Amino acid sequence: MCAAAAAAATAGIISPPTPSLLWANTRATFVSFPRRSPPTTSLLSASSAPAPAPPSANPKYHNAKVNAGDEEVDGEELLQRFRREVARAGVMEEIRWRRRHEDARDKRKRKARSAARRFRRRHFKGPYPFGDEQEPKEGIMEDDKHDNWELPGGELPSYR
Amino acid sequence: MTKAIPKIGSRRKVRIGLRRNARFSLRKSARRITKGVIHVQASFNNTIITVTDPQGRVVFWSSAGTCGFKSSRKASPYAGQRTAVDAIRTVGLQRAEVMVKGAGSGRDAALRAIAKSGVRLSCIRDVTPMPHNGCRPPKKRRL
Repeated sequence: MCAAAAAAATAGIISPPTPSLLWANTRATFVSFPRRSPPTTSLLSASSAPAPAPPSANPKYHNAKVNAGDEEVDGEELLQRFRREVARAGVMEEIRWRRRHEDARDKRKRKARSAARRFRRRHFKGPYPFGDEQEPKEGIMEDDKHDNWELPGGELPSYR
Repeated sequence: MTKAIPKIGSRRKVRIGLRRNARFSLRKSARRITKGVIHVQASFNNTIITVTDPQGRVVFWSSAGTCGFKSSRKASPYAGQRTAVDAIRTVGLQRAEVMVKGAGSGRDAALRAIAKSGVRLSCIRDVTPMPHNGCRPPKKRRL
């Protein structure tokens, strides 16, 4: 059993990042630090294989993630960003509906409700229709004959 | 309701020949490290905080039960907060990465306590296991 686990860990290390790597990492982590120490031969066989990376080092092993980067970010701000990322990824809703089995009716109901919520949150970006009260203003703007723009002809009258 | 319960730290590795003397290798206090990983496991009935070093070896762990809460009070946000404060204060971390698992009521309280504790967080990630349509979940509970 320990040899099989070590072989699985080795296969996981060799192959590119796949779901088997996730599983291999999980088992390898368990094998690396057992509660009861294994016999010497198992220790030797385990030490012969290279030490597997912990699950936290795997870049694909998360639902939502927030990095602080090089700058010193406040814990509160990082927590707010993380909460927003979790809400955007929909982790909580998925946990809630995966907790219990749902039949076809429940699935249909859930999809309908999520669609309604998504539609309600949508912002309107379309063109606005023009009403009838727009017409007189356009008429006033378009009329060129009554704007009194032309100067009167002839010489200006003298004031003396 | 809450009371102080003395805890025994992580067990050191014991060789085969010295197995009968295993009790002498128990630690009475947690190992103090500077950089580590804080694992928050918030189930619907309990909250468990585990602090490990960057390689993944457990340094200290705490839970709502070890902080003195019982039955339904283990699932309260206050229990989650107390658990997180207890774990961080014991280890004395300066820089940490946080991994969150589960959606219990102690999750937000524990995260807020970790954020306010002064530990500089380099990364927060949610690692709740999601089946890719695995085995059938238990049936719905009829109340």
